[in-house]
Amino acid sequence: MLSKNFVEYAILLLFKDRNDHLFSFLIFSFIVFILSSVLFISDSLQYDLIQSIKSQPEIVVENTRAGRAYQMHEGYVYDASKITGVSSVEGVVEGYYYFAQKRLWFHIIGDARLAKNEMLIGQGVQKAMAELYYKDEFHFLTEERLIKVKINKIAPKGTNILSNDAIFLNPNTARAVLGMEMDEYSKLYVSVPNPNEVGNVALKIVEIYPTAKATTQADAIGAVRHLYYYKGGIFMILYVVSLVSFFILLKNQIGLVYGEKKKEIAILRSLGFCIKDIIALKFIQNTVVSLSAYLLGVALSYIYVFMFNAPYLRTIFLGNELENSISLTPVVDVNLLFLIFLFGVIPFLAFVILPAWKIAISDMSEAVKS
Amino acid sequence: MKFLAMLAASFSLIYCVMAVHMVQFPTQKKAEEIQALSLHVKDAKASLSFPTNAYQRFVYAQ
Amino acid sequence: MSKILIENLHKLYNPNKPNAFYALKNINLIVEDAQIVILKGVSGSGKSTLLSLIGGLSKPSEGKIVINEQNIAKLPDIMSSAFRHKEIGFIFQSFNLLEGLSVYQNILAPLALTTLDKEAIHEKVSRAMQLANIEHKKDQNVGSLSGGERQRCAIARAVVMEPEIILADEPTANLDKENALIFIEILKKFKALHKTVIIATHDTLFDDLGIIDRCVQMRDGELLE
Repeated sequence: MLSKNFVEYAILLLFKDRNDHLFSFLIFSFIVFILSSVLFISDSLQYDLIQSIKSQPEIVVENTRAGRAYQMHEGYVYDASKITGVSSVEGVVEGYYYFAQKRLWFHIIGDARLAKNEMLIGQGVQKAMAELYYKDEFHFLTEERLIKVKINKIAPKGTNILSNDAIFLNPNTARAVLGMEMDEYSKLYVSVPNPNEVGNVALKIVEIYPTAKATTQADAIGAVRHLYYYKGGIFMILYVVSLVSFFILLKNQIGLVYGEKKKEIAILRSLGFCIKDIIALKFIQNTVVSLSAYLLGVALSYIYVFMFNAPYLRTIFLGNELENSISLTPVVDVNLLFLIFLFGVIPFLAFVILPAWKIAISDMSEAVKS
Repeated sequence: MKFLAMLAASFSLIYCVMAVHMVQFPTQKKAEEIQALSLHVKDAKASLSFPTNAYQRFVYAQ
Repeated sequence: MSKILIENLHKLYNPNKPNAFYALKNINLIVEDAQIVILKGVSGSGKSTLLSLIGGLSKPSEGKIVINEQNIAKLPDIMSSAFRHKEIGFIFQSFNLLEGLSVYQNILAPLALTTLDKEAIHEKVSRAMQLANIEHKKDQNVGSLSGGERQRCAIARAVVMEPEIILADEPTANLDKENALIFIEILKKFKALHKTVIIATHDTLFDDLGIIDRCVQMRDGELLE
């Protein structure tokens, strides 16, 4: 049945109807391209973020007042360190600085490695500053004064996922920029060596300071792993677009069997093609189309995401206020790609083969006379 | 068959290029850089820059 | 040897429905090997239906069609298709060519089911084209052929597998006189090749043709002998 001659003739008939098949090919490629691109980008970003949570502290404490983030004083550090099970507490300075000239928020992070007049900035920050000619030095405008800090170091491009909008400053400089007192902190990192104690310690912290929020390591890791929740607005839109395109495709597939094509099946039957031959013919043709479309969709998606770093689509995931020249790490989830293949190619084939079978088993005599 | 052979050859070439790209990408170096940075920013969050929080919540609905 | 034996053949359309009707009633017919038989009758007399049943395009409601000692009416699809592929060549009134393909590619269709190599295939197609006198148009798209040329392409396709039986349904209905006469010449070639030919027609051109062995009249689904 599947001789070389048969396969060649199937391809010949495929080219005869190339316009119809081309439409199916393009739509299916597009669907696979969109789904794969979203998959690649989200997996890549998650992969990078997971690298960063390895040094996640057991508990991160943040204070709130009137529902907004509020600083903590030394007393918090002392009280937290006195809780049983806590081995150490580190206070951290962190916040956001509004760069009015560009209407951007920069993420200020205190880094004790840096000297008073040193600054490490992310690449997005560097670009934004350079546009206003802040190349070697930057001026922070606060309520009280102007703080000049040298721009010494730029964070490597590979860390853009974390550092793009970040400015690392000496903690005291950061306090001055953020308008905090010398003994104030934005967050506390609480170390709890025994993992079984983490939950209890978090509860105790909240008991002592009811307005504080204590996020455990497990919560933080879970947040990264579930960053791309399928009910997210953008994902819903993308899936709806894919689904609608898919139904258009299936309708086209059914059309490949009715109308003129019905007579074609009757003609082939009259020449000696049995029902199995007709199904094999449609199977070969549509396997070539669907498999090529799938492979092309995945390939284009890989090239778009990992070689060209997903222009336009990347801004949907990362925001577009501050340009992020992130280089996406090639991460390929074979299982999910296989699922896309399964849920794409099988209905694609079924919607042609089933009607073709139905026509092939019917009485040919009327069809060949028309 | 010639068409199928050409199709297979084209896709093999494209996928070889992709495989080479994937292997050559400095994944390890990038991971090390991120880990090094995260030693100082222990609860690092993704560097997102959405114009409004509402837009960010729309994208990352929890 | 392709003797065709038809016994007690009935074909009922729309059974168990108010518009049920017998397209064929109690047909009994023997066609000897290498005979050319004409089925004559007006439209609706059942000629095309009888050809469809002999060619295995349709199954009878009752009766037997025995060809080469096989009752083809009872064969499962695979065997009936294989039989049709090897033993039957069909020439349709509307030619039923695959639009969008060339003459050569149309004639190639039955050979797609074989495992012959390229040279053997080319030889078979060439021979069929020569018999039908269509070789000079082999690379032309069938859509641009005249009525007579399309029929000759259909004839070439019908004979490419060198079947023993040729069935022609109103072969001259869509042809002018000149092309109809060309068909008669091809019919003479079939005779010389000892093919068994059954032609369903109401064209008077076939009356008094020396090569016709038998003429069978049909009316309202029955044979009038």
